Amino acid sequence: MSVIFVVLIPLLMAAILVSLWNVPKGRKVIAIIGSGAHALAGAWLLTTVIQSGLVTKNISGWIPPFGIEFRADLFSATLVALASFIGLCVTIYVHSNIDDERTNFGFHPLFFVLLGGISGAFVTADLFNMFVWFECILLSSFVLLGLGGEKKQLRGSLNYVIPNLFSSMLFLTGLGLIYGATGTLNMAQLAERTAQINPSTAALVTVVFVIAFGLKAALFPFFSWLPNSYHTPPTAVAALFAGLLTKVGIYAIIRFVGTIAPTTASAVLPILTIVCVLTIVIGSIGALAHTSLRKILGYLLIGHIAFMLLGLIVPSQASMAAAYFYMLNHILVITCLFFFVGIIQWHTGQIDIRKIGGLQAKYPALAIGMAIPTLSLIGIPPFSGFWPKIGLLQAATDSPIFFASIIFSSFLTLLAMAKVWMTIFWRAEVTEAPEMPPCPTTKALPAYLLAAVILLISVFPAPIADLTNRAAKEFAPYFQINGGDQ
Amino acid sequence: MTELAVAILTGILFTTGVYLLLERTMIKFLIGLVLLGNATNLVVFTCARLVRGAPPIIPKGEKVLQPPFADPLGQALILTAIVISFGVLAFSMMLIRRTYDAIGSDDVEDLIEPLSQDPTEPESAL
Repeated sequence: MSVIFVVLIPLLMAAILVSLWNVPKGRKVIAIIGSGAHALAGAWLLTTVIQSGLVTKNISGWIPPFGIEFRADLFSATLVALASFIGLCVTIYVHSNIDDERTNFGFHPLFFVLLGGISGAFVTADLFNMFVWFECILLSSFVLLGLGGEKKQLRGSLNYVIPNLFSSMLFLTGLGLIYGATGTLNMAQLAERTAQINPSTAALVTVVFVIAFGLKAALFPFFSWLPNSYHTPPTAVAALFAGLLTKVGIYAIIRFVGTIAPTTASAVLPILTIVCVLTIVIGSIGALAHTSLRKILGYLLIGHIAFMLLGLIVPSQASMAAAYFYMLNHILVITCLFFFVGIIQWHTGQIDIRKIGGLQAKYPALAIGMAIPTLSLIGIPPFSGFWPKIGLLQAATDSPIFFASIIFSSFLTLLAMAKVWMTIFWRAEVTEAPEMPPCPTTKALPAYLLAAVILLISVFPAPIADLTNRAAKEFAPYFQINGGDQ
Repeated sequence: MTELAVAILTGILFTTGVYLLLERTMIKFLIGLVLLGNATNLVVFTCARLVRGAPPIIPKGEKVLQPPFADPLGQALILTAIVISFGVLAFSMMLIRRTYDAIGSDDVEDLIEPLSQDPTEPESAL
């Protein structure tokens, strides 16, 4: 086994599924097997990295910096493992949740290209290679979003495509500038050289990259594409996007500022702090204004995404560990919530909370299942969202404005989710729901599975906290340069 | 000198590209995308040094390349970027065409859904 398997398996699956274009039977089962293999590869990578600390692979045997290096440290390996697990859940969910029209037009190959792109972006140690993986993610997500060609989907697609294309251009511009200034694209070599180049050039490059990645991560003021597009595709696609795509942007920002250009962080941190605070505040307020379940979750996603940059803003191992823990937990929670929204949509045919009611009486299991990610999202103790949040608050005492915005956002999240809960679960049924067959097992299984995982983390947070602590240690040079305590 | 000229050209392309991206008509957006793509490629091209008539080939008997030479890697990067932007452009064209067919307008303003969306319209069960 080698680190490239986490990228090769999904790409190979995409190739296999393209060749089965005209064989509709068994496509979904093959996809589940492929995802399972990918999840196994991800788990293997994580256990190997936990034991040895680092797994690298030089593609075609070219030694870095001449060739492209794949490099999985704990920070990326955990994300790859989690992404492959989410991928497996989504493939199972898709089994009953995607129509023939979409599978006939290549849903599965695109899904695997997306998964391969995400894994590749996490493990690559070459900045241009990261650009290529970003394009992989981008193109497959464009098509996944538009696949089906419903009117609202096309609207959503354009809202998504325009800013993301602009972000790619900025990424490429930044690549050109940093290559011109340092003469390399290998991340380890870049980290040595960015300290030596002209500080204003370095600051310019960092700003260009942070804007490019910030656009993908839906930070203020580049967030409006997210709630305008994430509610349009089928739930499985929306769950995958919400769980993983914005986190790739966050990962790229942390990787760039934390590893590649730690010396220029002081130039962008003041702005980044304001951007994060505004993202948190606006995202949380936006969640209150909407009545569509998916839009509420979309805005909450924006409101929470900026927490994950606290590790950069307050440079200490504790804050990075807490932010990373929060990120891992958030991937699970938001995907799980989107799955449950899909189940609600199955039962009621609606996602507008004004039209849904009385779910608790009719579907008690659904209420119990959905309560877990909801409480975890808000951060109610002892659910899994509480543990990283308390770490975040402890770390944020150095940045009072961030501290205040975390509290503010927690309350607004509570308010938004309480509104949702009281409306759709506790009040009486408002409209006669159409008689639907019971929810298919493959649709319910991943949702409850994720809820069980969240519950497990809630009860045993120590191993994850340990893991995130070790992962945060990998950014020790960043904390040193920027005057953190480690 | 060449660098300065290319830098100014890149600036003009970036400005026009961003201006067109902010237009309300989708076709203008598409043209803006093309200009921005070219501007970006020119940036990478310039950053890899502009040297005429000096292919990066190590002469016989030498061990390393003697400057001045243009960095071939930068040009290889552009090649990749051009291929990618070609694909992206083709996709965007189709998407805009389909959107135009669906909503009957090429005004970006019409992309925004009306806020008071009729909640009685049922969602598909997907």
